[in-house]
Amino acid sequence: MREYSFIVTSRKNYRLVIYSLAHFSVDFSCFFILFSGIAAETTLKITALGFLIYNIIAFGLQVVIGAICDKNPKLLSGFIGCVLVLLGIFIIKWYWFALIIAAIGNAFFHIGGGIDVLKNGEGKMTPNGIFVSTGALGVSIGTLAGKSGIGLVFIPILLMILMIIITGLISFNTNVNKNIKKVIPYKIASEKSFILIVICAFLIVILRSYIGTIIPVSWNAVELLVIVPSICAMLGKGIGGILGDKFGARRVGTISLLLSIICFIIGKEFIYIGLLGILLFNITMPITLCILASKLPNDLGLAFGITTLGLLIGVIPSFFVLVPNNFKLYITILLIIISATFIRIIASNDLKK
Amino acid sequence: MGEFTSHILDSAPPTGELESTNQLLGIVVIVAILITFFIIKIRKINK
Repeated sequence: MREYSFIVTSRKNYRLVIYSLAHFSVDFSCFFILFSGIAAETTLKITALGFLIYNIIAFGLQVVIGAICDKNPKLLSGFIGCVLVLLGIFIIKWYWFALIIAAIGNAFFHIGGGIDVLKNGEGKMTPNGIFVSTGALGVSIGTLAGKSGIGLVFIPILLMILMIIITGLISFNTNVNKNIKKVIPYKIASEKSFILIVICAFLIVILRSYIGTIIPVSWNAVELLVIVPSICAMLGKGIGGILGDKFGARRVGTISLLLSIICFIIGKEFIYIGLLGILLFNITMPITLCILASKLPNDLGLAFGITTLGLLIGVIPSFFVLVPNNFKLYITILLIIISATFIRIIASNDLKK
Repeated sequence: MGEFTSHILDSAPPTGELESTNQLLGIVVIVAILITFFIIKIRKINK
């Protein structure tokens, strides 16, 4: 019996590794298309519009695709997503079509991977933190690769072919799926009402997304640091799940957000403190996802989609409004305090044994 | 995923670049449709 459970656990682990690698690859490829195609060929305004269209399709569609996948659990959304992203890279010459196809693929992949990881997460935040974390790195390295020019197109092609093969293997291998007999529910949410928890979790994601666009840092122009903030964001999301499982979601979510305020105040001048702030600020990401999964156990696709819809809504103001630098810190502090209050209301400290 | 790219990464597209009212209106409509979908689903689940 112990041997059987070990086999199931290790299979779940390699599914997590595969989907996390695929998450990196999908985000890498989408940003490669954006920067080697649209940014290289058009003006700054058109690039910003392309980036916004990408966000609307990739993030906004997930709530719809998630609901569809909940009704049709046999839909191989993760695999379909990888295929569409590869198709997008193949037609990169027509960069608008490429971006739209890749963004749709991105939406499918996130839902497919997100549902799989939530289902196999055994009620813990750690796997979800690991899965969501790799995207941030894919975005920044994909951006750098895309800016280097179309000559590097072989990298996303090879990555996506590999991901299609391995996500295809786990998607079509029914023996593996048979072993996943019971989905262990998440119990991260507090005892408050269903509607209050869902709305507060949604608002936290919107606030986190918006704060991410106005964080007051003065050192982001340093060329060498292009990837470092995204590594910190990645670590924050990954560590968030681990700490949440160990010490309780409410405790970890609230403390990390409040500590991030201190880091952002000091970090304006001191780069390492600012980076620590980014890490701490991202810790709530797997927590909010698992809070929604706790309240929507039979609609995990919808739960994942709600978080990405929140990401989309939070990022939209930054395309139209520039916040004066003098106000950025004050707005950040205020919104983080509101987020921490919401986390305190809707998260519980129940520890998964 | 997009939340950090617009500000923290120097190489990401700059923000505050779009000013068109039509673009903003279009986005508001799309987001309103998505939020309506989300609310309908949540109300159905909550019943």
